[in-house]
Amino acid sequence: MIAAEQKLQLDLSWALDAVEGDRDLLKEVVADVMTETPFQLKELEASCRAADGAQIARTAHTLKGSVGILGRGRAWELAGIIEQMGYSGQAEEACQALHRLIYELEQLKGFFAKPHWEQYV
Amino acid sequence: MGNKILVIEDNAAFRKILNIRLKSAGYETIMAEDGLSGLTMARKEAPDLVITDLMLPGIDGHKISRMLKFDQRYQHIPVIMLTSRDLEEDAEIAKQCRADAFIVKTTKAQIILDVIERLLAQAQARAVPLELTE
Repeated sequence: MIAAEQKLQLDLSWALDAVEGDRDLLKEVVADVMTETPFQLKELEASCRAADGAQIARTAHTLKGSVGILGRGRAWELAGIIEQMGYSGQAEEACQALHRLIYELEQLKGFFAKPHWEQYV
Repeated sequence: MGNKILVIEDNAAFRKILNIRLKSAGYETIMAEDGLSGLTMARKEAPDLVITDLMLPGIDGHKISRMLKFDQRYQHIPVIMLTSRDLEEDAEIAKQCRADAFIVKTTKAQIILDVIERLLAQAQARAVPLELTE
């Protein structure tokens, strides 16, 4: 396992199993996740700005579903925490946690932007 | 062509994974990205089984299951509810909506395929054969 993976707590074993070990398909799936997450993040940011707990929970849940494909790492964990905050109506706390989530998503983006990242998983 | 499975899932990556695995297992697939179009497809396309995400834009998975299972025309169609929330409460509601199975999304694909196979076999066994008269 390389350092970047340790830092990201990346675990693509579920996704790799789901695509029956086909690394080209895995790359396609990861590309889909990386294409979807910026839009989902924007929706989550808008929900936080509107301080709408139910909307925060829904959008965080969607984001959690996407990053969950990449394993139950920190981004997945944070999205889950924000989702729960949304359900509890803790909009302000959710907005604070969102900054950490953005950082984690940037780390993921950086890793998957590397050429031949699939060699490390 | 194998049994027809309708997948209602708003997450594109997850939808792709399911599509790949189902097709590779010999099933015909149809896909919907939100609850309303999923429900419309379920009623129009008469799938042999429905896999629906729980949280969907528009109509959620609970409602989809309820609307199919409480309608005599569609109640024979097995419904699998998929979720990334592993909550007992969701499983309980899924039961109340008469979903046939409740599965967490990160369950191994082969286990999901085994559940599908079992539910399809059960549904076929339950189907009443036509009475033929001379």
